[in-house]
Amino acid sequence: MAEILVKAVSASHVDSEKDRRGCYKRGMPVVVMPDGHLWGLEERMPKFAVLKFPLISVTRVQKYIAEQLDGLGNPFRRRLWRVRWDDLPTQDRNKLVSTGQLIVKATDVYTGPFDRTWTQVKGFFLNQETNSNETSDL
Amino acid sequence: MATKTIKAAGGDYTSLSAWEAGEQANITGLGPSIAECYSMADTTAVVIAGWTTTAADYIRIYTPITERHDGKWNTAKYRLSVANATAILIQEDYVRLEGIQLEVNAANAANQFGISISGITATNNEIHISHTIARTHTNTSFTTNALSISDTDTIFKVWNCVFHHRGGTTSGSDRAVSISSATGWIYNCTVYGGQTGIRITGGTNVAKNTVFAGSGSNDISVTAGTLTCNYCITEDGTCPVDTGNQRNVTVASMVFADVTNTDFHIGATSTLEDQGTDLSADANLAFSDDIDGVARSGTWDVGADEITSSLTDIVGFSLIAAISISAIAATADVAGFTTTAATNLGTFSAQANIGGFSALSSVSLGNLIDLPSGDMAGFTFSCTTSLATITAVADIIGFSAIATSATGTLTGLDPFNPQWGLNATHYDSRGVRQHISQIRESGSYIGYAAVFNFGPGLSATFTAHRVVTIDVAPGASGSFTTVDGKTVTVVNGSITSIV
Repeated sequence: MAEILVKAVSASHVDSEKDRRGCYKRGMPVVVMPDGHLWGLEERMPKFAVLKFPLISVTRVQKYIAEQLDGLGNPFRRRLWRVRWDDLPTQDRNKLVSTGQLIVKATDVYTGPFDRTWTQVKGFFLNQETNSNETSDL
Repeated sequence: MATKTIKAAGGDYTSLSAWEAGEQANITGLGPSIAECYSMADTTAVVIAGWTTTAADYIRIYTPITERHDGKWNTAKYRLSVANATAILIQEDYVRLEGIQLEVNAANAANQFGISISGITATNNEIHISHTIARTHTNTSFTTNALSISDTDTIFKVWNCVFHHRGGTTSGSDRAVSISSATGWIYNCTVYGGQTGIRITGGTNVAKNTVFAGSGSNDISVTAGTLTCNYCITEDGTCPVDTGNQRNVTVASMVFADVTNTDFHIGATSTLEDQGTDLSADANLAFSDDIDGVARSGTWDVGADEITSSLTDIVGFSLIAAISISAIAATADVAGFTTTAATNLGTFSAQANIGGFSALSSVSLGNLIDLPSGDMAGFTFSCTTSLATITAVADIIGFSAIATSATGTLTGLDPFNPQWGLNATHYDSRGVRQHISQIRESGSYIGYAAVFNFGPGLSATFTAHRVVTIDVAPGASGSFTTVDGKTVTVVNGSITSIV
């Protein structure tokens, strides 16, 4: 029962250190809310898109909004995980731009409409610390 | 920059974290970027970073008064309450927090704070935190602070805040406030709990009118740098000897309302009362209210709260001002109230009963307003010159207004309960009754009893629905007109005609 608000545009800073450490980039998950959350007027395109995971608990996807920390525990990037937005299939990118959301089926219990399965999507979730894609199930 | 709202529904954003992500930008030349937070539980940790701000183009995160805590932790108002991180991490140069509640609400890993300021790289910066409550979880297993400033560049100004470490005094790294190598001012704050109340490890810091307590024998710890204290109070003996400071003041004598639930309002007998100094013209950080937004006056109290009697019943209260009283507002009963002002009493308002009230002003009473549902029973007002306006929405019973010269307007607004008992007697220096310029009622009154004492030499106009009793003094002469057009003429102590 989770929805992830994902940044749809990148912010930037002239200071490269602040840019890396402080600026949200396109594809970074920002907030996790329960299914059916009534998002705010600004929490939509062009600033954000929503990835919906029907019947998946908030706890299961909470890890995607964790910060990336350096070896001393200090902030290194805004988020450890990032959706490789530009690598998504054109169809999915177009869907995100036109509707602002993508419904991801991540459990067999869910029988409603969806755009992609978690199996299809998880390979686009990049762990920026290890530079490897997600392989785990939800 | 525009103001954006953070609301559970119907606003621009549904979390402060999403606001920060959505508005993050170089705002130089665009004015302040403002997050207006409404009553809700916001549970996602916030990091303020990646912006470009200036002294004029700052980030302001605040709550409107209606959405703000009432000086104590309030779960009905906006609060940033996170379980697994620092509630808010500030890494930007110019940020202002105002009227926010922040807490770490679960036992987590170490170094998770209510407010953390670090990673500020610019020499020019200024962080403001006011009217804010920050508190830790009760667990003492991990290092946690209500406020942590761990950046050598930080310039901060903090006032009217509560920093509450709820974990006791056993863990060595638990502090209500921890500051390393910053430059800042902490005024009128309440710093409570932790193994250390405030720990300074560098920088130049100034505290005024601030109380440090609940931290065993470590209310103040300065291992490097300086903390100059004036008009500060500690429970233990760590407060430095300097102007206005006090040490070894017991927590019991401070009379905090409810420490367990982070309510540091102080009671009427608190040893913090009237022990501070007026900071309204302080060169570094000037303000004139308390954490509740109540105006501070007279000799200021120490800590975030300024005692005010308007929050509960006022019984047997006596207020004496040498010059003027601008406003008194009560939200509950006012009983046995007496005020004596040498000159003006501006406005007195009560939202409930005013019983046995006595206001004595040697010059004038501006406005006396009894708001909805309030009776004025046994009310006595006396002033030596003029009375401007008395307004009652409900009953006025046993009211007595005495003025040696003019009474401006006396108005009753309740058309359904017209039990007026007006006995207005006015005497000049010769003992001669003087005039009331106007008596006016806006409702359709029936059956009320108005007694008018009609003195010699009277010449006045009344706008009244009905006068049941006219008390004519011996030798009085004059006339008055009622609202239904009757002219009452008095000659030498007798009513000669009603036309």
